[in-house]
Amino acid sequence: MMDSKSIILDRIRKNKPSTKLPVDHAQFLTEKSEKDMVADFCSNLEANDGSWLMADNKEMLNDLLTKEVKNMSCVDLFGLMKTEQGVDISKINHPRELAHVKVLIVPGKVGVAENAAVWVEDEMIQNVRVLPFIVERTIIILQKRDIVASMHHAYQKLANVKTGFGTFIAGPSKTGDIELNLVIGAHGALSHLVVLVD
Amino acid sequence: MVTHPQAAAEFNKNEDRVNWHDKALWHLRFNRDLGVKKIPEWEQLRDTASRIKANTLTNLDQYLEDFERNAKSNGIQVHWALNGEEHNEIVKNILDKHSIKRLVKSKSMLTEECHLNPYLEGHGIEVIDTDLGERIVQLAGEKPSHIVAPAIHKKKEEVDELFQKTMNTKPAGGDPSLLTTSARIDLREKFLNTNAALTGVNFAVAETGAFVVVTNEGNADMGVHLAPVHIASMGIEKIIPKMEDLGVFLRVLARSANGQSITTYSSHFFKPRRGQEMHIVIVDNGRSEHLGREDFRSSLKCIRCGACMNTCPIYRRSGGHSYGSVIPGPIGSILAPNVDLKKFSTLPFASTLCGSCTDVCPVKIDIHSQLYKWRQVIMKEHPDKLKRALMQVNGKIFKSPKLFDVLGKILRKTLQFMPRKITYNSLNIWGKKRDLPEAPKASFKEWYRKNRRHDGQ
Repeated sequence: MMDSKSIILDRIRKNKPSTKLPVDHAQFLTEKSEKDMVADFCSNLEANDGSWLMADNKEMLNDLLTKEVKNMSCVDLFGLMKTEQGVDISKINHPRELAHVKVLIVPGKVGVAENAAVWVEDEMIQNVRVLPFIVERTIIILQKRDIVASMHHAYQKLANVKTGFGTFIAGPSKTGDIELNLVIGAHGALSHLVVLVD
Repeated sequence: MVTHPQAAAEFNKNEDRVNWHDKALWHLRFNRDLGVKKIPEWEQLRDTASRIKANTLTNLDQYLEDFERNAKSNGIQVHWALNGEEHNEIVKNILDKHSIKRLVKSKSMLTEECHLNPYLEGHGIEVIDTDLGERIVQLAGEKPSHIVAPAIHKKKEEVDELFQKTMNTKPAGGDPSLLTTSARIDLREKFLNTNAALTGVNFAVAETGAFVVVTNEGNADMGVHLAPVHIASMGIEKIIPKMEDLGVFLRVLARSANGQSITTYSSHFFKPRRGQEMHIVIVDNGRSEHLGREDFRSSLKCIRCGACMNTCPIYRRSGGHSYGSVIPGPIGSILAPNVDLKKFSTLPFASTLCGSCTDVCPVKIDIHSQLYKWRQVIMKEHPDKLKRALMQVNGKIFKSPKLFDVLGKILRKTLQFMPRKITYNSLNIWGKKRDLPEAPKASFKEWYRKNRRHDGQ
C-alpha cells in the first residue's frame, strides 16, 4: 500500500495546472527618505495602539527607561539598565517562571515604516521565545537607520538571517472578538512602546 | 439536512438582529476599504499575490517536497494526512506518546474541517480554544460563524452571561474590556500549565521550511512557547515558494480582513526551541482532487482573510451558521461543493452574483464566476425539478412573440386586481421575499408603435 505522502503527491502531479506567470517583487522596492520613514513608523505605530519615544543619546535612553520601568520587575535584554529588579533569564528552568515579569526591554532588528512592525528573533531574546508575549509591557529599542519602507524591504534585509524563531511585533496584543469592540491587551502584552535611537 | 434558504429564513425571523449583524460586518468591510486605500499599489499587490499562488499550484508537489526536506533538516517532524481522520490520529498519537491529556489550540479552520475537537474529546483529551472568539463559541457549544471573527454572531450581553455560567465570573454589564480580561486570566493559567499547543499555519515557505502564524491576541505564541510540544496543522495549499513572497501576503492579509496594516504578531517558526518537539501535519482532505477541477481550482489560492464574507449582502443578512459548512460566505460556497456537492448544493445559490467578493479578494479569485459555474454543475447533477419545469414554461413563452404579447396584455390588465394569494402562490419562487413592480400601462412594443410616428419617421 502507498503511504499518504505518495498518494497526495501523485494526485497533485496528475491534477496540477501548468500556468507559469512572471512575478515582479522589485516593483515594490521603492526607496524613501529616513525622515519620512521614521514619521510613517511613528504614526502607524499609534494607529496600532502602540506608543513611541525618541532618545538622542545613551543617557537620555537610560533616564527614559528608568522612568518607564519604575519599580516593576523587568527583563532587560538591551543591557543598559542598572536596576535591582532585573530578572536573570539564564536562571529559569521553565518559561512559565516568567509569568510575573512586567516589562521586557529588547532590541529590534528591523522596523517597517508602513505598519510599525519590528522584527525580534531568538538571538535577541536569548531563545526564550515566550518573553515578548508573557510580559505586560514590551519596550523595543530600535535604531532609526534600521527602519525600512515596507515588508518587501524588511525581508530583503532579513534574507540572510539564520534563526530558529522570529516575529514581527506591531503593537500591544488586542482583540475585537466581542462585537468588534477593540480591546487592547488580549493574551500577549498589554502595552507596547518603541524607543527610537540614532 | 437544513438548506441555506431554510437556515437563512430562520435567522431572518429576528429583523433587529439581522440589521445588527449586517451593520457589524459592514463595519469590517468599511475598515478594509480605509486600510486598502492607503496603499497606492494595492492592485499590483493583489495581482502579484494571485500570480504567486497560481505558480504555487503549478509546482505544488515540488514545493511540498522542498518544504518537508527543509523543515526536517531544521529539526521539525513532518507528517502527511490524506484526510481528516488521519490528521486527527496523527495528532492523538503525538499527544499519547507524551501522555498529554490537554491541548491549547489557536485558530485553525483546518482542525474545524477535520472535526479534531470532538475526536480528541472522545478520547479523553481536553481541547482549549484560545482565540477569544473561538473560546466563546466553544464555551457556548457552537461553531464559528466567521473565519476571522468566530463569535461575530454573539452580542456582548450573551458573552457576559456565558462567562458567568461557564467561568463563574461576576456580571460585567457586557463590558468587552472586562470580559476580555476574564478570559485572559482564565486562559493564562491554561497556557502556563498545558504541555501541548496546536496552531494553524498561515503560510509555509518551501525554500526555508519555515511557517508563519499570525494573531492579534498573541494566543498562538503564548501556547507554543510555553508547551514542550508544538503541533502545526496545514492544508497543502498553504505553501508559498519564497520568504520574499511573505512581503506580499503579510501586506494584503490584515488589510483585507479589517483594514489593519498588519496583525500584531507575525511569528516565523524555523526550528523548535531547545528541548521542544515541533510537528507539522500536512493535510490533503480533498484538496488534491479539487486541484484537478479546472474551473474551480483557483479557490485553493484563498488566504482566509474573510473579506468576501464581510462584503457579501447574503452573508451579512443570513449569518455564517446558515451555510452549514466549515467556511461560510462566498469562498465557503465554492469550497464546500467540492467536498459534498449534494449536501451543499444550495450554497452557490446563496449569492446575488454582484461580484463584490471577487473585487475585494486579495488573491483575485473569481469567486462570483465560480458560484455561477457551480450552479451549472448542480442543476445538471441535482436538478430542482420545480425550478426546471417553471423555467421550461418560461422558455416556451419567451420563444413565441405572440404568446408573450397576449400573456403580457392579460397580466398588465389583471395583475392589479388579482388577490395576493394567487399572484404569490407557492409556484412563484421569485416572489417569496419580493414584490412585483407595478404593472405598466403598455408594453414597450405598444408604446413604440404609438410614438414612433410622431418624430416624422
